[in-house]
Order: sequence, then structure tokens, then C-alpha cells
Amino acid sequence: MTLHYETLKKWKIKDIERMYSAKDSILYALGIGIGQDPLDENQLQFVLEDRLRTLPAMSVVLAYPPLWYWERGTTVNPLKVVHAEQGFVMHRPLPVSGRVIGKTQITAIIDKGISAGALLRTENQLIDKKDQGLICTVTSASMARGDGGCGGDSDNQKGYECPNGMPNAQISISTLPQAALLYRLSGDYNPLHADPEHATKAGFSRPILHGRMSFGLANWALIQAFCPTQPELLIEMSARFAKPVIPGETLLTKMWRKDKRIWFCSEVDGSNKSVLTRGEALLA
Amino acid sequence: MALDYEKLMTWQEPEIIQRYSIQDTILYGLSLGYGSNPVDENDLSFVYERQLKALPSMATILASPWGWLYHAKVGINPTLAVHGFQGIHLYKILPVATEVGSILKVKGIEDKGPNRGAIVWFERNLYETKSGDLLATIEASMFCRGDGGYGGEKHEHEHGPRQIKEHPTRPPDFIRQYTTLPQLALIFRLHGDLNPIHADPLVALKAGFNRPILHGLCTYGMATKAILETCCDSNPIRLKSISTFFSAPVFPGDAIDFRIWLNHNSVYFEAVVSLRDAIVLKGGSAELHSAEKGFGL
Repeated sequence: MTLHYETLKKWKIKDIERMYSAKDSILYALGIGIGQDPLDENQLQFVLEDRLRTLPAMSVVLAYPPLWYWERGTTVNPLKVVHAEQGFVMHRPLPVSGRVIGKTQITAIIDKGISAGALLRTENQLIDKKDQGLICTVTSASMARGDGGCGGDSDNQKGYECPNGMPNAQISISTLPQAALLYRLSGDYNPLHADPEHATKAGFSRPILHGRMSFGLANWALIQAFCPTQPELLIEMSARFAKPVIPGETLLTKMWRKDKRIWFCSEVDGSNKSVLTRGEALLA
Repeated sequence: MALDYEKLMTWQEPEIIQRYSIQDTILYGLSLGYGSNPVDENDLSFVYERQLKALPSMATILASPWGWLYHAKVGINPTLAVHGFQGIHLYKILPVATEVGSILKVKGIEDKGPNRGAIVWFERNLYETKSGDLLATIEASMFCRGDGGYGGEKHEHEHGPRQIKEHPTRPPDFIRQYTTLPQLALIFRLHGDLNPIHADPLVALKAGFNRPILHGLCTYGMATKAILETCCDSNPIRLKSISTFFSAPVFPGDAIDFRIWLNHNSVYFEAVVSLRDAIVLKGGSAELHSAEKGFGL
């Protein structure tokens, strides 16, 4: 364990300013796999500039520093960090292009014990530079597997009660063998998702999909099921990462709905491999 | 409005300067199918930043004045225009990231007669701005299906009319098949050619196709990939030139067979979509440098 609680608690993550274009929004959607039916208007709305809309989940990658814990001085052992949870709350629809600022802070360091690690929670505010309006609050948690026993904050995670019975909707989305290579052009260049040698060193047989891409796939599944022509109606979403997806696998998302509330989980189709658990979402 | 022959022959297109990055080069590789085996070293060398290579055909999408023929307002019906011919001659290895420039020049117009169309030939030199080095000469034609019979010269091209050469009588020496993705045209258009015929189902219908068609430059890039893999050990330095005629549209999702005949350092090729019995590339030819020579570098 290298983590020093007081040091990390006071750690300032640098703000990010980013300009993005309609082309970036299209590239993100194509990276998720949208467009596999190029005649489907519900898919074309995310990839054609004359009718363009954004996928809400793009908010989580726009101005978030995915590898902030690699910075010198955080005291985190970065080699042992895996992405554990992801969520967002939309305050207004994400524009198809613009200039945004991401302000990120560490909100909790939770000691899960020496064998499990320390859970690092962050909150990222995505702000439209034009009018300083808040677009989205992005929550993320990473498990620092090498830093358990550091002492820390207590976990006040809420309970999770998914309705019983058959899901109200099930959507399966296939991924391409080259999916991670295309998705990384949206800004997360971690070699774990591209370099076979690097993946082997990290304990995987081959490069894995970005957790945020699995999250994006589930986002698209939710939209297909509940608001295919009005993606901006999906205003909240959160989930926990269980296992990574290997590019080429098909992701099956099961969804339960009660009024505006949705519960979901995702697994690799045809296997029992759970990918996203404790999924929740909210419709406007 | 009829095609304005004089205006088109003297058309002056402003210079285009483009800076491109490693990401652009990777996106180009992905849009030709590199990475479909994501653990293959050769595939990765065109889509991953470590030891990245640029496919020579990328010259065709750099500093290109996309849509110039439509913006020029020379009386061409843009909906009916399709890519006719594409060729490049390479002088240097293409950098994976730099700034390039080029100026397009109209080289000739062939009138095929009323109801048959007109062919507009043009050419541009691509150079690197900081070194001034000439990288490639890019030659192309657009087949303007709605604009024949304007009454101009029948053949104005300085090289005379281009004949499409037939393939050798023997069976192909190599066949390489690539299956294209249904969303391939949507990816390829990010290189800059936003012509809606490749993306908007309604526009494609108006142009007489029952669905959006793939960019000719994408098929051309895949032909370059096929020849590089088959005849050049995937070493871009060995490609001297490559050209082809487009004879039928490719639809995203098609499986394309590239048929290749190799004679020392000369390649003849064509491409066929067997499922639709369509020859999509005809009269393709490529010239190679000897394995040991490259550009003499």
C-alpha cells in the first residue's frame, strides 16, 4: 500500500477545457457501434450532422481525466486501479458541439480492506463555457486494488432493489473486434485497450473494451428501449462494473421499468458473464 | 443548365492546406478494415500509435477540395455524378502526421454524348508544407451521368481517352476478400467527403440507388491494402503507383473479392462483389518498387 489518505484527500485534479465538434460527437456514436443499421433513422440521428443529437453518455468522456491517478504525487498505485462505477445526472441536453470545462474533485476515499482495496470516488462537473451552465454531473469510482487498509471515509452507498420478474425490455448489441480501437479515438488512449502485450501484463488474455464504452452501450440500449426518438429524456444513469467486455462480444442489457425509474444489468450474451450490475436510470 | 465547358476547363480552385494527426491516420486505417483482427501485429501497425504506418492511399483524402465540382457551379447535376477513376503516384513515404497542401487542376473533359454523360478529369499534387517535399500526384475523374451532350470536344484529356485494360487471361494469382461493415460509409465520411449519397437513404434513392453507397475512395483504399498485403509484405515504401476505374457501386456490408495478377513489379487488379455478380473495380494497375529498393532510401 502506498496510498496516503490525507495527501489524496487534498489532491487537486486539474480542470480540463475541451472543444468538441459535431465530428467528435459522430465519432463517439460510431465508436459505440451506432450505425450498424445504416437505414435506421433512430441510429442516423447520432451520426448525421444534418439531424444530429448526442448520446447522453458522451458526457462522461468529454472532460473527464480518465487517468488522473497516474499523476505523480497522488500516492495511488496506478497499476492496480480498475474502473468500478460510473454514473451521470444530466441538467440540460449535451450540445452536439461546443466548448466545455470539466471540474473534477475526489469526493470519497473508502477503505474496503487490505484484500479488496480503496474505492476512490470522484465527481466531475461538465460546464458549458459559453454561459457557464452546468450540463452534467458525472460520478465515477475507481478501485485502487493495491491500496486497501489506507483508512478512510465510511461508505454511505444506498441500497439497490431491482423489481422481480421478467424484464420489461431486453436489448442485445454486438461489438466489433476492432471496437476498442475505434472507441479510443474519443480520447481514452490507455494501451490496455489496444496493445496486446500491455493487456497481457495487466492480466488479460487480450485488450479489453473501455468500461466507459460498455456504459455507453448500455446507455444506447436504454434509449432504444424507452426513448428511441428522444434520447435527451434519459437524464440519469449509473452502474457498477463487474467484468470487462472483450471486443467482439455481444452485450445483452435487461431492463425493468416502473414509471420513470429503470433498473438494468448487462451481461455478455450467451454466457453468464456479468458486465454491468446495480444499474439504475431515470427518464424525464 | 448545361455543363459550362469553358468555365470548367479554366476553373481555379483555391489551395487547400490540411494538418493531420496520428488520430486521423488511425481513423483512415480503421476505415479500411485494419484492426478487424485486433491482436494481429500487421493490422495494429496501421491503427495503433506504436510504430504506426500510413497507407499510401491516404494521400487521396488529404487536403482534398471535397465537393468542388458542385460548388463550382459549372452546370453539373451533383446527384448524378459518381467517381470514375482514381490514381496516385507516390514520391515519398506518407508521414503519419504533418501538414500538407494541394491545388486542384482540371485536366480535361470527355463528352460521352447525350444520355451518356460527361467525364471530368482533374489532378493535384500533394506536398508537405514544412519541407516543401512533393509526396504524391493524385489523379481522378468524376463521371457526371446527367451532363453529356454539352457539345464540347469529345476528348480533351492530354493523354487522350483512357481505355480500360482487360485482365490477363489466366486466373488471378491471388484473391483477397474483405467484408465491409454496414456502417462503413458513415465512418469513411469522417475523412471529409460529406456527400449525402453515402449516408442519407433518401438522397441515395434520388440518385437511383436503393440505399447509400460506399465511397469509391474507400474501395480504392481497400484495393491498396489488398495489394500491399499480397505483394509488398505490407511495406508502404514499395508502392510506386496505383490506379483503377470504378465500374459499379459498392454497398456497405458487401464482401469484396480483390483479384490480383502479379507480373514482376507490375500488378493488374479488379474487384468483384460475387454475391451481386458485380465488377466494382476494373482495369486496376499498380507499379511496385523492388523489394530491396523502395524509394532508394
